[in-house]
Amino acid sequence: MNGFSLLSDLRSRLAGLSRRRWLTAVMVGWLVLSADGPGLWPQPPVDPPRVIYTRPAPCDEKPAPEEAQAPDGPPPHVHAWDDDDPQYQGQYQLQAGAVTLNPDGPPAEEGDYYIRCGETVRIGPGSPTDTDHCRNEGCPFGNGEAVNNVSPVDWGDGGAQGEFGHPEGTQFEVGAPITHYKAPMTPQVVSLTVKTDDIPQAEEPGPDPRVEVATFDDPARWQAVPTKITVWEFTISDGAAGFRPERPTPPGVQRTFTATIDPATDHNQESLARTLMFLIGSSQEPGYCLNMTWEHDPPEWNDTSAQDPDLKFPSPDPNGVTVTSYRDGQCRDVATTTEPRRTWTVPVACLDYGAYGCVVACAWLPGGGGPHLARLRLGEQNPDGSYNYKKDNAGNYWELAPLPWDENTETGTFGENCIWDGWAHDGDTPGNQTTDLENVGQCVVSGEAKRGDGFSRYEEYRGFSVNGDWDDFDPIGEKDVFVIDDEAIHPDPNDPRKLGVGHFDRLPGVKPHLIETPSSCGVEYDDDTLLITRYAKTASNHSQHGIMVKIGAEATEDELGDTPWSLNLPQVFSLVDVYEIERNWAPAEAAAQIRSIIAHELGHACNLHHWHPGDSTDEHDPNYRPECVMIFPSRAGERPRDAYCTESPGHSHLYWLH
Amino acid sequence: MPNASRSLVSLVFLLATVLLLSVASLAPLGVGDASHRWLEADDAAVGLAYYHLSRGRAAEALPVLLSLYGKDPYRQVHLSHTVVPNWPRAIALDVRVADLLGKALIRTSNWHTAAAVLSGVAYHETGRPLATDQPWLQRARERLARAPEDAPVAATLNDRWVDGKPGPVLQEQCLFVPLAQLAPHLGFEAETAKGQTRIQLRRQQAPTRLLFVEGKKEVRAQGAESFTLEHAPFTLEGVLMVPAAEVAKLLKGEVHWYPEVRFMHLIIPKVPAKPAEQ
Repeated sequence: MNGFSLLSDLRSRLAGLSRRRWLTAVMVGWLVLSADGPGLWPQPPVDPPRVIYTRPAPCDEKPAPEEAQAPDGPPPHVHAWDDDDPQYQGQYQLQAGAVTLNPDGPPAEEGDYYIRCGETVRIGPGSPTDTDHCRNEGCPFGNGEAVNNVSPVDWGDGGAQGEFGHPEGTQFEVGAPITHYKAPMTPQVVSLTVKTDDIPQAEEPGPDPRVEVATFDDPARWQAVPTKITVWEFTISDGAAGFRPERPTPPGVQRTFTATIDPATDHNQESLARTLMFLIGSSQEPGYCLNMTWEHDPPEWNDTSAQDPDLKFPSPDPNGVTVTSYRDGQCRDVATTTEPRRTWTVPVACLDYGAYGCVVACAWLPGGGGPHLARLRLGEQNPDGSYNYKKDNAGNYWELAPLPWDENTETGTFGENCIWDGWAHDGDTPGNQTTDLENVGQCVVSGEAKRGDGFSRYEEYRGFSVNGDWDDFDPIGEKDVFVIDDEAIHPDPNDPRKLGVGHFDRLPGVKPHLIETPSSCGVEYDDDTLLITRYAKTASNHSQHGIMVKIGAEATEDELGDTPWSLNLPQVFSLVDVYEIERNWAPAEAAAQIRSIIAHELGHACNLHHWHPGDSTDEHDPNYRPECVMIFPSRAGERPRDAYCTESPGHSHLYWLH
Repeated sequence: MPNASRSLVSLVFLLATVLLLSVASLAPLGVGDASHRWLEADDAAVGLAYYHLSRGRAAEALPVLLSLYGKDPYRQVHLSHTVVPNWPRAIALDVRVADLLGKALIRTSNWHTAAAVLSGVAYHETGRPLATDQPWLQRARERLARAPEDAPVAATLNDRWVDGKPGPVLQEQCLFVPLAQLAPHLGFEAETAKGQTRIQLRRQQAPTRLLFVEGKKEVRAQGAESFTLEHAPFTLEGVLMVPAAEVAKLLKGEVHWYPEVRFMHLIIPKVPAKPAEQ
């Protein structure tokens, strides 16, 4: 309890007592106040000992001679306070306070009268005064004027639903002492007022020890002319609600973001419209998915080269804004309204299936501290004019609009793993964007389990184009393997045919993706190296290649295919001697044998050997003919197989892909 | 690859095909063609042959490969999209003419010649002749079991298939081969000043001189004792033919006979040849 509230409390307790009982109460009160330890009264600050008899009587009553007169000397002066005498025209009435901003600092400037929703400002009651006048002659106060202290007793904001209080550490505490005003969450012009009251006491001039005498108790008064401030807000809409980055066709998917300043006019009836600036913070992945790009010479605005951000303001410039580039090239990441606007909407083009970033709106609003960043608002404006905001777990506003939503689940902040929160596999398994978790059929190589398929979670989310159709992959299910059928891509003019993947899709845990359209050549994979992750950047663990299948003549007679090396290397290919198979098998069996040989060769490409379960440990044992496509060698005339052996550990669990 | 580029490549391959087929039809086949220098166009020819072979057109690949075998049977040729029609850029193979020729011969059912070529390959790689447990050889035996007595025969000297006109012939259970064509591969210079009816072989190591005469079983030697053949040399189409096994024995070599495929592999140590006198 501070001094003001202590006195106020004391005064209220003494109200209504008779003079005798009042005096007695004062005496008892002072005794209690002087006593050690807790008592009936709150413990006051330690004051020097006081002379009780010098306590003054109320000014409007004449003291009893036997009580007021000191044993020796002249009788004390009796005050007669006349604040309400019309001849003084209110001169001695309480002069009401006025809410002042930043009272402890330099005089408030115009900018100080602009406060953002929910923010606090230091306030004070101004400099209210109260001088009481004693009409009795001989008053020891000069000219009979006694100055009272004045204190605020109440505050008001006209029902704006702001709060008065004080900081308590990093928090705002409502209630006394009132040192701050916390602006309401509804942007508006607010009228601040303060109610002040005098402390009807004054120290009477004279020889020490001085005594305080009661003065006129003026009625409390509200501030007559409110102090008007503008509680403003600057928000940006959630343009990415439910949006998964994609890029179907040029010029990309467009999302819209609206920045708004509230209220429309300030406390001076002037518009709050400002030049609004929108900035894009964007990923800069090469291409627009793992294996496709869109580039031109000369460059076009919606190109997806390694120098192009994935999020841009479209071209030509959207209505009402001028688009520039913060960096060199066609970044198109800054859009500025051509004239002051209170609210404006801009489109943003998404050029990448794995785009991640945000849109920030800023403006220089009154009050300094700019540029001010717009807070992310969720949904529509509430009926009372307030907004719903996105905050992190520490209560900080998101001063950006995510694109897409990627919230850190632990901190509530923006930015977790570059993956849209709505994606099915965003957080369904431990790890981050770089994890490669497929664990079916992994083989232990050099003491380490070769898990995964060489594509990270983010890469499978960003997706791939297969025969012109984009798709994202399952990062925890089957392992993805690209097979490139060169016969389908480059059909032989004399005998066009396709190879496909044969029985390779029967390798457990493997999902082959067959590229087989001519337009895919050199587009969906690198023509020289067969690299699939040709446009990887974020969360790229490894360069993964496809396996090319091609009709070819194996150099060694009696072998029907050839795969010189295997994955984790570029230029992995499998040759299948289709014509030799057809020459040696009956037509009814040839097709099955071709599928078997393709599976055999693709098995080699996935690091499977001619190992087989059973008694024989010699992979070249001509007498061992396991029921497995990895049989060695695939003899002409041999019955075709259609599966990989599963006997533990078996070929089904020995392959690895990277 | 743009269509225009592909068309251009196809045209180049077509010209190479025409050129090499012409060469193949004119040039003598076999061991004696080493004087032909290997040209860049030969790489393209190998690529074209591989293309035909992989597309089931072994008959089209065969003449090209026969021609190139005479030039350099064990030359390693790098196959890429620049030499193989309709070939992806990502695939590169190293092949040898002899391997491709053996494959083409099998696929055209020239079993005895295939055995000769592939046995030469085996000797080139391992120093041993063709293993008899080759699955394709089994198939060849099955086919040739019904072959007529006058079916062609083949011979290989060390790592080279002995080819030429005429080829080896089987007479009285004895295989005769053209002597003049064998000589360079045994380190001999062949002197045929008096025609093919009398051939003198010369080299630095013993025997330094051998004289074969048509119709005479005696082989006069210098640096070794003279030798009497069981079968006298004879001329066929103007070429002196000598009994292969007996000559191999004379030169302390080995003879491997594959009766099922009518093929003989002569393994005879080669010594440096003495330059011919001018």
